[in-house]
Amino acid sequence: MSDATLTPMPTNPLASELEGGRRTQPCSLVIFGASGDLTKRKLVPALMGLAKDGLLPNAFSVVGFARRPWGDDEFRAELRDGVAQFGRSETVASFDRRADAFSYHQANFADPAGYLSLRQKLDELDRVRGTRGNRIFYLATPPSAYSDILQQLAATGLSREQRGRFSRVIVEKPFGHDLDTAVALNEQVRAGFSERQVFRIDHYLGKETVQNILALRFANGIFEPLWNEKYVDHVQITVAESIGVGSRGGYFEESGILRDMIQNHLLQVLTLVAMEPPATLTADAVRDEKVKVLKSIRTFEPGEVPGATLRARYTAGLCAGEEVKGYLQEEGVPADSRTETFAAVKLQVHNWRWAGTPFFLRAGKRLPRRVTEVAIHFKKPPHALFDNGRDPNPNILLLRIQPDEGVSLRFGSKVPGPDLRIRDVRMDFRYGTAFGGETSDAYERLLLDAMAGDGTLFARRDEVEEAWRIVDSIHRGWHTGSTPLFEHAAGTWGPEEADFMLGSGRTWRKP
Amino acid sequence: MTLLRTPPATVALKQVPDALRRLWRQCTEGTPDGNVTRALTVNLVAVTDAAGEQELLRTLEQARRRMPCRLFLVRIGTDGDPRMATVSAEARGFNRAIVLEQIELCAGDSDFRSLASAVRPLLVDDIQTHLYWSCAFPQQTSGFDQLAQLSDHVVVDSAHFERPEVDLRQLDARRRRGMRITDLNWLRLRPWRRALAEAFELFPWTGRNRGAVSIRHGAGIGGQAGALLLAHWLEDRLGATVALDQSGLAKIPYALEFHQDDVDLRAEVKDAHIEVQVSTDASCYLPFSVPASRGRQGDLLAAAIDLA
Repeated sequence: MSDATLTPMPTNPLASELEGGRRTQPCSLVIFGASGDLTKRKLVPALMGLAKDGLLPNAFSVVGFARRPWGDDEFRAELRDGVAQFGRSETVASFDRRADAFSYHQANFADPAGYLSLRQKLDELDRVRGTRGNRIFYLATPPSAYSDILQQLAATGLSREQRGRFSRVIVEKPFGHDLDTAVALNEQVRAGFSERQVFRIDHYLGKETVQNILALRFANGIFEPLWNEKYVDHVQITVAESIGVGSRGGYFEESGILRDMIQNHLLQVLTLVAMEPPATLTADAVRDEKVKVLKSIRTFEPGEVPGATLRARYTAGLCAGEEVKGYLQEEGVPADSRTETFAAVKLQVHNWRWAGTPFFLRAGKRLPRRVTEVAIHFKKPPHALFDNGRDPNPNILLLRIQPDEGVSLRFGSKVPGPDLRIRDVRMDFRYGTAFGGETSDAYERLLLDAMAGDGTLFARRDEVEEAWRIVDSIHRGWHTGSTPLFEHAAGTWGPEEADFMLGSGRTWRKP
Repeated sequence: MTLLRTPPATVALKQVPDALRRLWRQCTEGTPDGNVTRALTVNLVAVTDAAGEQELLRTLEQARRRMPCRLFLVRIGTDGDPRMATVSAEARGFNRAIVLEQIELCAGDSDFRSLASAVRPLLVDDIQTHLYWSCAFPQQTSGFDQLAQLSDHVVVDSAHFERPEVDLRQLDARRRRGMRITDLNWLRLRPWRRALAEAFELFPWTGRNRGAVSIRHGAGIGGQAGALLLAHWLEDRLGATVALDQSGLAKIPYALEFHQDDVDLRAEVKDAHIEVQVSTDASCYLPFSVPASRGRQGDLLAAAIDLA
């Protein structure tokens, strides 16, 4: 799956032993915002998961770049604590073995001197740890810091690739706040890095079950012939969270669920479900097909938005038996807020395969349970033969992304007995049962791919901008038109009105 | 996680399908809808002799967690009744998905024609069949071949071979005839191969290092067969003759020394990692380490089946 990288490997007659095709190279990883939660909870535990599995190169170092006045020892203690709390089993031992590969660099993100001393530090690490001048810069900061960091990386030449050494940047979402800011961010990135050097993380794409959408579709012969408007009535994609916004009220108020979830996770999943088979599994071949799907979704005119979307927010209610606050009572949320915590969107992919088959996307907070799934609803048989002519239920192919990862197929079966009565039964495949073992975290896969230079599971610039084009048009419609903001009690599957947008005979699943 | 293991039932071979159906019903008793979910992903025919039985049971216990299967546990060289089988099942999870259907069988020493004919109709259709030959490679190979013919893939462990040079040649001959064989000992050597490969990353290998290689090899690294496999691999990759010395490291079973021209390498297991030191005339490199092993025998078996 890897695209060619700049770096020619030295001739090594035993190289095929180095983890096959996903070959990582010696490198230093610089984490900007290393004193934050993401580093402690996700990044370093993921790195130690890779180390435990023997997938991290030996010549590897991590430099934490942040403003907090820490030394190496405090930094390492914090990271060790994070690995113990959030890492896979036995990863603390991996950290202890590699603790001296982690160092801390205190500087302000806008301070040029901090980058010059960083460069010296990285050169020194190349010498003593054999990291060969290869660098990966991870922006784990609030987006407001991206501009300074990208500017300084370009100004100090740290973004430049030369003499076979690679320099890559990993950018965390959100990739902008709307299309204009996304384009501006991408331009800033482009000032120092070519697109091939950029890895935009949407952690959903690192999940095994999201990747399994491609495997299910293109490694099996039986699904693809049915995977089109002739046989599929509609598709429902749901990302539901049972938690509220908690202490993120201030941030969420700026984004809302549309920008926070639908612009990235749901549209990424939609592209995998709707894309044409790529010619190969190289990064650009896959991403080209995904972009074509987004380009096939038209920009909404403001007048179309009320009929094709629904927005709502949760009010106080019961979640898992506990009384919970409404959105307006959450910390940091103003009393006159008009931000949505639930959104449902009907998208049409205007191409030969999907013409007339709607994709319904739904995301929400404070729904009854945390679940992410894709449900392919097939068309009903043309003639109702059984149960006195009663309409049979449609077949549903369900791809469960989390939790209880797996695939199930609902179909009708004859109830034993003298009558010809039909009952729905379910054929079930569960990842945990069939494959067992400990599944690695999405960040492990994505960090490994970034080290191997494989961008397949990262969002490309045009994907991000196309997704913003669609989402912006919905947002514009909401704020210029007459789309109401509904309310639903916490712990329910959204407002009743959400069913109306599906059309007759269809209802939202309640997973 | 809910786990249910049915008590074993001994039945005539012909009664095995009925006995399995009874087990399915037992597994679903008390579930909300009474539906049966079977999550079997492979047929596994595991062969052992009396000496290796306990080790095999431990291995299978570890492997099964990653690999729901219909397991044929075949004891050879026993005086049990070959016309009878003992069946049991295991279900897991809230919905009690059946993850194991175990059929225990007995056979004589070398001729497994009747055993193979008993197993064949009991294999679950449309999933792969793996033969795990867990004991020494037999001198009379017809029984091995009869069971191998039932299978898509054969797993052996050359660490158990009594005549490694001869037996490894026998395996090679079968590979050349198209038999798909995985040697767990080769997988066991993987961290050592990786350590050597990582070491070769440190210095540019320009082809100048084509002098003879000498290896001192600890006996714990896959035994004599392991040493032979490693030596053949290096001969193939480096295009050099390899002299093998197993005498010098007798007291340090998990250590390896490599010497070629000006390259000196020493690797030794410490604290579950292989610590590697490399030096050339020009440089003495910082030591590095790689994880010594991905897991236990059962994990190796599951990995072998995954790789197949």
